[in-house]
Amino acid sequence: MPQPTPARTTTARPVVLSILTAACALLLLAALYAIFVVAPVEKQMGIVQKIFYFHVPSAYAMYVGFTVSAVSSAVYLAKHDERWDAFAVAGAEVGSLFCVIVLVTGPLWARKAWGTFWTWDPRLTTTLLAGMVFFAYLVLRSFGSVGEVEKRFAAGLAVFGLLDLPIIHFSVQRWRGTHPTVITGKGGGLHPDMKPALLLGFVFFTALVALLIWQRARVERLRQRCEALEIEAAERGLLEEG
Amino acid sequence: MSQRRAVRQIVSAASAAVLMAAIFVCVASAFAQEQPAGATADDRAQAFQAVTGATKEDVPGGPLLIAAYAVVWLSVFGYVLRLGRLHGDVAQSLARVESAVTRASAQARAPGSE
Repeated sequence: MPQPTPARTTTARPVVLSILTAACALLLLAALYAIFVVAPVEKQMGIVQKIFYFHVPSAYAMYVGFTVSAVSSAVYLAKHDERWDAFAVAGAEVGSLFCVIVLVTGPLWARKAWGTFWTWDPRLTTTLLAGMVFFAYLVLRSFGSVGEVEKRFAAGLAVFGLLDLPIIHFSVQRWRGTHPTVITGKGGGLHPDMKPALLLGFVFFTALVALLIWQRARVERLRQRCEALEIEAAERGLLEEG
Repeated sequence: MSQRRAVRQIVSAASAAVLMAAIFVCVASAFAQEQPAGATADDRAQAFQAVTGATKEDVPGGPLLIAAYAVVWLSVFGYVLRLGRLHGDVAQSLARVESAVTRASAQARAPGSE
């Protein structure tokens, strides 16, 4: 009778991951310098506008996380490969983290810019909706011993959540709300001295979201291997003593 | 093993403290710049311009800015710490299961074990 092969699993961190971590630390310092020292204070809103340099890249990181989750879920539904499921979980979790950041930093900025913390502006509402969809995904996945049915249902939910992302993006153009359109609108745009801070913010958040998704997916893969090995060994009665 | 973990935790805490200090210094330097006021909602929504000359703010933006950056960094650090703990727990479980399986397989292969 064949015995289960103990997984030759390495938990060591790949070199590229360490390099990415170091790059993140350097980019963070560079971004903070550009935001607080190089970029001037905004004329109309004052110092609170500096939230913009992390708020917008956080929204972008949220898009990346949710897109990774939805695309990986679609591939998982087609191929039933656990690797894609790991990326789907990682994308949903990291995307939700950045969604929370967007939904908290935005109202803090709005208090100064609009005089209120929250308004049912199309972009704010659709962002909240996306957060709720992927939060539901995480709640579904957090139930103990998730089976194939739960995984597939959660994957479908993530694919459904993807439909909301273009709506968030184009909502300010289709249904003109109060949300700023400095980057994509036809207004005066950004002051030239503000552009390096925003650019560094985008580069930093790109590295950060890639790092977090990669690391979370690695942990999920390890968890999957551990679970598979436990099930296989238990089926063969190898783990009865302990 | 636990000593290495303690050292890692101390290094993480020290890094977080240095980062917080760096953020504080940056925010403090930004406060040195003076603030302006007034304009229509459309002006604010479509263009960001640099301040010229000294002005005063009606709603203080400083506390809002600090709160926003605190939320960003506490969330990210909290998530990284959670991820580290999760990774440690899973790696430990995996090592335990692997060694149990290896032991059980060796016993099953041993002569006379049938």
